[in-house]
Amino acid sequence: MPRPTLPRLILLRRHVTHSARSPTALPTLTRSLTTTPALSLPSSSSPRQLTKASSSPPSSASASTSTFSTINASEISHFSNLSSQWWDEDGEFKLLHRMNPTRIEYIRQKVALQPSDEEEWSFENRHTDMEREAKRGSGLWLSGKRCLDVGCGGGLLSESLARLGGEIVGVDASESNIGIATTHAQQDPQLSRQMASGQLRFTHSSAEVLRDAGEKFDVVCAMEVLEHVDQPGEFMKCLGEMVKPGGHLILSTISRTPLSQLLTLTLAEDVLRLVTPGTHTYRKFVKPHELRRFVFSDMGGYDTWRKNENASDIRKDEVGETRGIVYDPLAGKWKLWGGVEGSFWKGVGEGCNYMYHARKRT
Amino acid sequence: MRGTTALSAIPKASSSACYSPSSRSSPSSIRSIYPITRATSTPVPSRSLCSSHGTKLVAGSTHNRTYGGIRHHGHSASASSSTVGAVKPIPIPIPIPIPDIGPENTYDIVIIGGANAGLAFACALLAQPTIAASTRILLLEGSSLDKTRNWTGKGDWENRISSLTWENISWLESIGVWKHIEHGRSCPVEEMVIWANPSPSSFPTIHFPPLGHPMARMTENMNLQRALLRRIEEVGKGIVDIKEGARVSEMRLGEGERWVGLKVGEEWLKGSLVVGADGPNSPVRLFSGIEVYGHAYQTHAVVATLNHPPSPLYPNTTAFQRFLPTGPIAFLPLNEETSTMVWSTLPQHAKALKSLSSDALTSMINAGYQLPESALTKLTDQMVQHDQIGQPLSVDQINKIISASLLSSSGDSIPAEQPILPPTITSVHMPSVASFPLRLSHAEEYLGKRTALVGDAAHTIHPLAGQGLNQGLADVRVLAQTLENARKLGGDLGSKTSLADYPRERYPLNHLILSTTDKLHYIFRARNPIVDWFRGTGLEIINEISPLKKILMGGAGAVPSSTPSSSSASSPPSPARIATSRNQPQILSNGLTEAQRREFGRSHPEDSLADTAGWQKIAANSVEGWFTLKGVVGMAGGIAGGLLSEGMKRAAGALQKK
Repeated sequence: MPRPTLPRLILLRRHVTHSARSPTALPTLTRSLTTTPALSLPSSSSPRQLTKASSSPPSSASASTSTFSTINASEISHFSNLSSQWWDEDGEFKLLHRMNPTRIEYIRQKVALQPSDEEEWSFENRHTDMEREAKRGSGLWLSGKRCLDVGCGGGLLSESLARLGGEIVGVDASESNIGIATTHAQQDPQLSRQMASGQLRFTHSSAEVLRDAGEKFDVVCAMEVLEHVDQPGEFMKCLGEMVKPGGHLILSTISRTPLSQLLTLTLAEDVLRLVTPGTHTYRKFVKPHELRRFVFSDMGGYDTWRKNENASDIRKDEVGETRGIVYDPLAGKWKLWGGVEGSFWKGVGEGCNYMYHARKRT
Repeated sequence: MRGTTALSAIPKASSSACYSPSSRSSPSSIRSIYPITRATSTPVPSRSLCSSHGTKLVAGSTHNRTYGGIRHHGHSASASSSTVGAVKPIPIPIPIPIPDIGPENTYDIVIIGGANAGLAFACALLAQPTIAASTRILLLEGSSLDKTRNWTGKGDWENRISSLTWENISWLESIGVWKHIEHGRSCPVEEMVIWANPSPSSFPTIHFPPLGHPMARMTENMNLQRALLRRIEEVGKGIVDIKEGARVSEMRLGEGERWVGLKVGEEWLKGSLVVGADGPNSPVRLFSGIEVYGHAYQTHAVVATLNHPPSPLYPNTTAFQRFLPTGPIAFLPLNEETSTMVWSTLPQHAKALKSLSSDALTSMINAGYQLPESALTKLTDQMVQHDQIGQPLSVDQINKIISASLLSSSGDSIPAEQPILPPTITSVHMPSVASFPLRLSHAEEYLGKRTALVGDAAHTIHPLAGQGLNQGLADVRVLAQTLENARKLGGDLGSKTSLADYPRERYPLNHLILSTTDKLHYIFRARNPIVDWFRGTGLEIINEISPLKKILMGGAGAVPSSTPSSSSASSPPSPARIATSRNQPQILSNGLTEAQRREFGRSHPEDSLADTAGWQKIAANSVEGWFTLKGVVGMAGGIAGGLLSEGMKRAAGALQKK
């Protein structure tokens, strides 16, 4: 039943307090992503219809699930035009090149550095924690893991993941991007062998197609994609379905705050021209808490996803961890922002770019 | 092209004209470059056109096996800058395409140069877990490594000896190299004495006392290289391939600039990253089109192994360096009876020194350490004159000149008190005598397209601070760490993004060391009243301020001792320990010579420091006092502030209660 339109902030606050008291009120929590005015389509009056596309009356764009896609055509043409510049380390994607090691560092922390479930902590060998962690996080720490890189672009992330020993599938909606990624990887002495053996594969496809084909992955990454798709809610659900039990869902995207307006749009695009103007749209940005809450409310909640141990006592209706990632112009590097969960300072770091991680239950 | 272009080692038909005579000793190494060609048909910059002018190209023949990492072919900047513009670009013939290179010849990292820096880099990479687990490394060396491999650690000392700093020794220990060092052939340097002695009446001396661990260890390059090689053979099976006698005849960037193709013999290899550890005239640097700036010193360094009787009291673990107007002369311990010398001096002096007979050279070296400057200048002038007419000085002539110059000047020409001196040498090991030109140079960048420079390929330095090899080892350590960090995150090893941390960390530091050493060279050489005054005062002050000395030594927890620096009234004038001196060492009641008793400035209870007061001492004390005062005032302020705020809080609390 469509609810009367309320100012968004009030709605969200109510949900927090409400759900903390009674977990039975789950059905009312279905709109964290879709209630944002930026993310709703003009044809939709009811947010619930958007988050449950399969039950909604089929529109002309989404006649069936096989053709349904969250891909935005204008975004694709924008990135196709830029595709030749993907591997210019000092060009259009300079900041992205520099961001890449930091994003992988985050993946490493989440995928490799966490102790495995079999590994039991004991008081006697507590002092070997650092050694064991160093061992887990070095070498080919991704070997044996099947990874999906949605929106791989020129293959920046995919290539790095492939070098770490994983089996990588890179998917992009732009055919020219896939062409660039394939050519570039084949020129690399090591990666060309991996491509020949099928360890690294680039496909012109979409996340929805892979999901419908029943593909499952240990690690699903969508870096800087969420802010470029139509219906981010659908897109998220699609990604979530492809994560194997015990697998990881890792995203990076941009928050919708005055800070991100200033840094991403005004500074980087309009003033410094580091990025082509028009790359980002403010209305499409997603806030960290919206993302966490959406995974809780629409993607299965704690039945499907693990709790964030660091924040389990302060947030009862959110799934996963967000972490700010900020550019340090002096060092010329991106850095993962620290801070205690729930603190003001951590929130400041997530004001612009941030990473998101959630892990499925086994 | 900028003026600094002149200093890059771009070979030209006319370039031999700008090398100084002594640098012609190895002309082949100067001309060894790769032709720069590219597999793609992109327009080639004019710089590479110039470079491809080189005719027969042999690489790998130059290595940085030098004392302290220095070996340079000085050529004047102005001469070669004029020739750069004169070279006409000639069209490059279309290169034969690189044949397909199989996986067995595909490497992630190719190290060119199997001397200190190259071998150390391979060891550093082996110590990094991700690199060792996931990469293939190739080390290319132009000559055979058998000489290094079969070095026994016995017999005569090599003349290529470097001082390894404590920091680098600790690092070598941590990566498992130091255990392979022949310890009997590595001498700790516990103390250091530096003096500039412009006139007989003043001896500004800095004495660096023991730190608790050696400041450095004098180690033969061969010793270090053998240890590095053994470590590679110990743990590098299947990771590091070594190709000896492999000369690179051609280097080309592969398609898409994703790898570098290297032609070795008839075979092509490829590497994602090529590391140039190939010495001052680095072919890799030339391939990368990186320019160098710097200048040649009008100075050659003469090295020799010296023999002397063991000291009955003290171990031979003190390094000495005396600054003469022609350059520094250093005395570096090797073992109880052997030491090595590095005498940086004018090229004609170096030439004359090398032509002396064994006995004459012994006397000359003793004079170099012990004679007052005025007398030494007369002696060296005579030496050069005699050398030019083809009759090198004999021992008798040297002794005659010394006594004549000492007698001709007034009686006080032998100073009342000599600075602490190195032991008097008895003979020189003649085969070890050699000389090489000195040069300051620094590459403009450390990174090219899929290339990185380390060690002498990136920078060369004056040996007065003994930093050449140590800088190279630090480069190698940082680069290996950078590559490990990049690899751990799946980075492409040859990309700028992966390598950016290496120059970011090393370039400013290397530059600081290079420029400081350069300035020290000029300050200590200069002889004019103003510079003398500043230098003398500066040295006095440095010697008296313990904290500053601690910083200079770079050691924590050191207790610097104070050297009585000007003549002390209580002690009788001690004779100069010149072998040919008319005075014999005065034997004291306890059976020691006065010089031995006061050796190395160790203060004895009877040495009173009170009468060493000069105004410099006052200045030094006031500076030290200022630091003390600042500390005490700061502490007092902190306490007072704390008390005040506490009182305020209580007062506020009391008010609130009311």
